[in-house]
Amino acid sequence: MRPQIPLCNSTMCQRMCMGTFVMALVANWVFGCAIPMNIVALVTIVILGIGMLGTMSHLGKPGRFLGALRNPTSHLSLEMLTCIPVGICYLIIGANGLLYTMPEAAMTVLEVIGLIASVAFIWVTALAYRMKARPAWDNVFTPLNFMLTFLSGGAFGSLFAAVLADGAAPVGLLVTTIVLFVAATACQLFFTYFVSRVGYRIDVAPFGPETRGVYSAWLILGVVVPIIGLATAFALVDFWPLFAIVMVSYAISLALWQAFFFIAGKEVWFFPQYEKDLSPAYY
Amino acid sequence: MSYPEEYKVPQLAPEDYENYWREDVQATGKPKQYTLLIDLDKCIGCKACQVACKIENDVDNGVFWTQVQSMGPVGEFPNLDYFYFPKQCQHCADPLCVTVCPTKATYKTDDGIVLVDKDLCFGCQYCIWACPYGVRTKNPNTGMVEKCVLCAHRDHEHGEMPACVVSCEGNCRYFGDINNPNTQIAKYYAAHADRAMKVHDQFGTKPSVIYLKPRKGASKL
Amino acid sequence: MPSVIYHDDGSKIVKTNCFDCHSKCGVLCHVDAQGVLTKVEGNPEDPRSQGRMCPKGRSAVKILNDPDRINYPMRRKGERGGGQWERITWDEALDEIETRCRQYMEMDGPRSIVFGQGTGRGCIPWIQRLNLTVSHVNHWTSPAHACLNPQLLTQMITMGMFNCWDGADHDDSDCIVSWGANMVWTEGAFIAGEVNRSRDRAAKLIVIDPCFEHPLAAKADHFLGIRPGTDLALAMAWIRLFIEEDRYDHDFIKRWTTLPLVVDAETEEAIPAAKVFEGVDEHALLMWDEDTDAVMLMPDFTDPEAKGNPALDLGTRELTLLDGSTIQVTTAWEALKGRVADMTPARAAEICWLEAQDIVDAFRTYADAERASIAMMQGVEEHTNCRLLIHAIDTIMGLGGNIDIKGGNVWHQFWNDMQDPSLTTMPTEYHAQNKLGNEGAFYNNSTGHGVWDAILTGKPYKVHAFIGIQGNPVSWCENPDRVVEAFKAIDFLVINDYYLSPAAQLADIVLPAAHWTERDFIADEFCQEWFYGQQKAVEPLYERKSDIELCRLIGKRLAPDQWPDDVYGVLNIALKKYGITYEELKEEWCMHLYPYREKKYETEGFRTPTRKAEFYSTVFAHAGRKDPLIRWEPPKESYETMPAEVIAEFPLILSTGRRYVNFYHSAYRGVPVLRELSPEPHFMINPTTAADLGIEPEEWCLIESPSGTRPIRMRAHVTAGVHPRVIIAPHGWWQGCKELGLPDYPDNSSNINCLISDQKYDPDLATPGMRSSLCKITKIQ
Repeated sequence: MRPQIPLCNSTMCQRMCMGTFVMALVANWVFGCAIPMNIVALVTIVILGIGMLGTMSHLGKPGRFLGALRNPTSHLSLEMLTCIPVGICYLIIGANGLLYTMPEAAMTVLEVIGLIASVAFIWVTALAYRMKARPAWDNVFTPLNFMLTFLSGGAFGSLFAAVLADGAAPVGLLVTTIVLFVAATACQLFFTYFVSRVGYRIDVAPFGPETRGVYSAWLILGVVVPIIGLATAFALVDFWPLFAIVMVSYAISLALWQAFFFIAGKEVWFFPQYEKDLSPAYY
Repeated sequence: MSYPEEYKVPQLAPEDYENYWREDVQATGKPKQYTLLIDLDKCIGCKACQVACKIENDVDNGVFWTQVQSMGPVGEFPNLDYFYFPKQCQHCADPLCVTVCPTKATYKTDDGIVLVDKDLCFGCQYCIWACPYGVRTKNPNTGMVEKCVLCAHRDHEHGEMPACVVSCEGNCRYFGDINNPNTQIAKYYAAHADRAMKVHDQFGTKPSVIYLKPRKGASKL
Repeated sequence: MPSVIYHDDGSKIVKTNCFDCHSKCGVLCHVDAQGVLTKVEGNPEDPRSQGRMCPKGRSAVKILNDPDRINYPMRRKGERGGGQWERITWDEALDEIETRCRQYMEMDGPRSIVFGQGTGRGCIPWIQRLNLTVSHVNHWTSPAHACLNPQLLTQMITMGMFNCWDGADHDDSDCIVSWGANMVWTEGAFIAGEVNRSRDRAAKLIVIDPCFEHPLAAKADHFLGIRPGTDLALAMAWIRLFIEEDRYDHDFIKRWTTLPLVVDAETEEAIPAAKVFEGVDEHALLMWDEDTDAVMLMPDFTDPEAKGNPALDLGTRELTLLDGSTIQVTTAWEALKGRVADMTPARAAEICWLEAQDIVDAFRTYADAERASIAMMQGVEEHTNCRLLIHAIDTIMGLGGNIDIKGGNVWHQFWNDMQDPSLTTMPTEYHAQNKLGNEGAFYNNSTGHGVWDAILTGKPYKVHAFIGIQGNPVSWCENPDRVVEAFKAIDFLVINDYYLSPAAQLADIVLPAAHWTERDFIADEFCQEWFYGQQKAVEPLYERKSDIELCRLIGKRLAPDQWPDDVYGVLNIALKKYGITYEELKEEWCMHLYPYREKKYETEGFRTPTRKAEFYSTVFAHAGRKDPLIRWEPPKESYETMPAEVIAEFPLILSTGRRYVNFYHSAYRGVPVLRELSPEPHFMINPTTAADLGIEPEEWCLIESPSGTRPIRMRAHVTAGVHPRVIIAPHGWWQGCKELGLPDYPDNSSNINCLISDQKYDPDLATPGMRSSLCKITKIQ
């Protein structure tokens, strides 16, 4: 289908921001960083809020969106349900230090809840795309890609946050980022291979006319730039502009990847045994 | 009146007009699945059903609840496959649209019709993505999703037929409770079961609409 | 049975017939208590359509209330075609028509007023009455040179009956042939039911058509994707096969046709019996009796006592005439054999771009069927060789023994039989022919071409006024630019129509026409053995009037003694022969004219000069081509007839006029629910041809022809359903649809008739080659 721009933006925002939250927690707990979670949470709320407004703009009747909580079998309802603890946690964490100061133990509990809720949110968002009508999406790569790019994008974000907070990015975090980035990219390449031969007459060649623009842009911003950035990062662990550029580049590449994902999500033909699909016979 | 008897033609009593497009069927007590049967061998692509549906349901421009599409011509002139295919909601027994609708605006009635509640739909279009048949449309004016309702406003209890069935020029559409063996649709299906097919039944949606394959011109069906 | 059913709440259902095409399907109009039409449904009692309706009829409420309809009489302000109108009253309009027409009649006689029409929506006999009473001529102008008249005239001349159209009895047929026809779309609500019922009985289906995007092509047992304009070769091949394989109906040919006639072996002229026998009628003709092996008078076998066994395969024999001279004679049958001798399946296959075996297989299916019906429509008419083609198909029907039998081609009455003769019979002083245009020797009406010439040149006589009772000549006529030229030059132009068509845009006075939902009419023609009182469902909106009422109003002004004081009076003239009034017919709605009886010719003969089916025609022998039999003749604008350099520049064959289910000729493109099914004009082109020309699907292209006045533009619909060297394009595109934001096509920019020659016609019937010309396609850069 045509790339849904509001959704490309909002899923990018969700993955980058919530991923940064999750990976910043990992950075703080495992690699001894001191990234201020309240700022991360605040930035996330603001960007997610903008993203959500964007999503609502593509609804027919945005005023009724609260009704979307109603159906437990629908991943969209689940998405909205998980949105609630995510929002609450981020708000409380974000206001910490501004409006009040919470005890550390309580913060940790909230952070853990926030982490679980964020992962759950991304998981159900990913599952929402699994539908039999679109065989290119109806496979394990869809949720895997969402999760890995969520973690990988978050890792880039946490690197940037760590440099700003601590002056330098810890090598352990850098290595973790590389591992996650490689896993995510590998998954994305597997997906590319998969959609190029999914059958049902809806194969998408990545460098074909429909997708070559977004796919090439994704390769450059989402693979080439991060590789160069990560390679030079070892030598420039305290140079925040590098991490800023890599993070922004990766973020944009997620939106581009999502656009490629949409284009690849073609609806299965009525009669794939024929070389043409049904057409409306308008002439 | 000097009108000669031999000029007269048999005509219905006024009360019988109401009943002409109905069938009188004994209820069986089994669960109902109202559905359509479309004999593609008879469909001549006249679009009477498409337009009748629009007029009956006052459907907006650019939105079609049933649409007669065509396959082909495929091949090389003059050895070609070509058939018309009226497409509309399949009123699945396990509808994917109902599963994914976040507001439960899309629901399935007890007699098998899938409907959209206009008070709940908020136009997220998730159902349009999920439907493997591409038969739902978002109305640009109302912002909500619409589709074939099997003319649910008609008196199905008394066998009244939807507008598309009544209009079909080729007599290729049948309507009724497929679970009731006494209906026209069940009998026609039984008589032509060798040509029957459903679309994408491998996806587990259990579409209720039955299509009968054309006898010629659709070699790959 | 009352035809209006009243409900307690004041609403009603009116039983009437739709007239959005010629099928006249029975409908039920639901009218509310305020007299507003709310819904139209099919009437299950209609013996032909049984309640089915097509998209056009179903949209009746939309057409009735279409905001683009002309609602009031209007007079132009400023120059012709300037688009400035002032509203006038009906009286003012009729006053002006009367005054000006009387002036013209003073100056140059009543014949200087010409009446015109379009496809004809049931008012043809009344227009004919106008000509007779007002212009004192027995002709008017219409698209009949391309539609209806080729078949009607040819069949009336060869067989004295019109047995195609609703005469093709598919319901009882074992083999249905769709030849140059798309009858399940064009008269779909009743014919689709018949065809499908017969297919359920395993009837065979043969489709002979250049276009595979035809609703029956893929379902056919035999599809012959014929080269446009060459159906005549196929028909001749079938005739030859009938004879060679001896599958023809011997009894019918011998006793009921002119093929046993004794003719001169050299000149093929029929030998008058008076040259051989004394004291016989000068019109009597001869046969060669097999039993006595001698000539005898051709008997009339409607007489059960008649004797004789006419020979067919006679060879050449010597005949001594009364004056003592001897001549070589043979039979017309032998002459026919000679005409088709070299049209073998192989030769026909080469000409027609078919496979010889397919021709033979399809033939055998038709010939072996006990009852076979042929539906032939404009696909066999709009060619410059159409007389020969239709004549050949009539011969095929006769050879197959399918004339006037159930399941074959049935003799039903046409409107000339249905209406009382006094409607269109006038005292002789009104009968001056004076027709305009002589492109076809047997064409009994004025052609558009002849009228435009008369307007522009004053020859053969001056024409001052053109009054069009519906019809859009700018759409139906070949060379529309000339129509526009004539309409701009004429002294007085009056058009009545639903919409401001290109013809109406040039008029001096435009009159608002009533839709079928708003008028009382009689539905005849194309209704098999039934006849209908087609009453209005609602009172006419605004100031619209029916076509018959308009004829009456004009007639009342210009020939007051010949026209009654109200519409019912006019309709009653037509019904006189049945002894009923229009009130009574309306009340009953439908009238069964006669129970069908097979083989009426066995007791009544054929209504031809010889009272036989004249496959050897004593009439066609004397004018036009002056040929009593068929012969192969390619279309006038074809590979066989055009110079090599023309073919090099225009290598593709153009076939125009293909049908839509949602439009009717040039009407209804402004109705959104119908226009959205076909938003823009498309021509069909084969994928290999499109690739060679670099044309992408949906691209705008120019279409040009050697006889065209200028190029026109349409979008390309790339489809495998046409032969690589054939282009199929529609006519009738002028109207926009504001509600959908779709454009109109002013100045004939997409009018395909600009490409059709107004110099090349069938010499017998005046038919232009709308379905077989040459063209080229170029993409618009």
